[in-house]
Order: sequence, then C-alpha cells, then structure tokens
Amino acid sequence: MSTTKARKKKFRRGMAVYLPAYFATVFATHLYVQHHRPEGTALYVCAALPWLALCGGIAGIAKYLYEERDGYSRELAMRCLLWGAAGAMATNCFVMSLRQFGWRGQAPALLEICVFAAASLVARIAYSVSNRPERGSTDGVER
Amino acid sequence: MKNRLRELRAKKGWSQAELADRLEVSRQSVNAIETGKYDPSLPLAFRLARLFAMGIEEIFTDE
Repeated sequence: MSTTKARKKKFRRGMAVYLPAYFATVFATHLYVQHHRPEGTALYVCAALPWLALCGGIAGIAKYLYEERDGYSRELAMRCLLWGAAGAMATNCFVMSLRQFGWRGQAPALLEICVFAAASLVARIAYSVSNRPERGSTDGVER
Repeated sequence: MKNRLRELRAKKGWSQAELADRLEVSRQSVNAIETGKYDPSLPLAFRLARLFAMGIEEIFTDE
C-alpha cells in the first residue's frame, strides 16, 4: 500500500469517527436546549459546543493536508473543500437574504454542513470521473 | 507542460498503479500527470527522473 493510500485511509477513518460525533453533539445540544432552556453562560456554552466540534473537523482536515505529500491529492482535497465552502456560503447567504426580506421561518438544522458535504462529494466524484484512465485500457499501459 | 511519462511507463511495462506505488503517490496523480492535467512538484519530478534514470528535461518539456 502506498503511503498516500495509507494517509487517505487514516483520514477517512478519522472522519468516520468524527462525523457521527459531530452530529451527535449537535443533536444532543439542540435536545438539551429545547428541554432545559438554558440562559446566560450556559446558553453560550451550548452554542459553542457545535462550533468546537466543527473546529475538531477542520483540525482533522488541516492535519491531513499537512501530512499529505502527494501534491495532486492535496490539491484535489483543497478544490473539494472550496466547492463545499462555496456551497455552504451560498446557502447561508440565501437564508440570510430570506430573513432580511422578512421571512420568519427557520432553516433546517445542519443545512450548511449538509450542503458542504454534498458539494464536496459531488466535486470529488466529478474530479474522479474526469481523471479516469482512457477507454480501452484499464490503466493506460500498453502491454 | 508536455511529458513522456506514458511512453516511459509503457516501456517498463508498468501499470499506473505500479508506477504510483514506486513514486508513493496515488494512481490518480500518475494519470493526471500523464494527461497533462497536473504538473508535478519539483520533488516528484526528481523522483520520476531518478526512477527512469533520466534528466527531468528529458521527461518534461515546456510547451
């Protein structure tokens, strides 16, 4: 196994642990706030918990980017992250505009992170498809 | 930037995956370099040159 494969596997394993932990933190915080209605410092702590979980995820991504020695894989990861960030920012901008125009509704919880994940995944698939070896050869080698 | 990577790899009879393992990069990286979608970093260009026992300028040519 090449080292870049090992790094990607390690990153995916880390994300497989992190993502359920993140969603559990957000869900638990929402549940706690709905039931106990904290105020003051407790409310700030509850609001900070999902943010701290998000920081954990960003730190994980940063660690992968730092350790990744394969320039193409790193560039690909950066591009996918940018697509994800663009999707999340566009969603946030849309929801903010709706509120400014008088909308009193509430965007679904975790909307931005879901859009981020979806946009990153679509970008990853699109780049993988566009970088497949040519037809008629499994990997481009003329045997 | 043009390169002779596909030709050199074919001469050695290596698949993209085999070359990727030797270079410690992903197979996608090798394909991206071969198709000109990605220009390798200088350390990777040196690794390629060492692997094929050639100079960098013999593998890569500026368009």
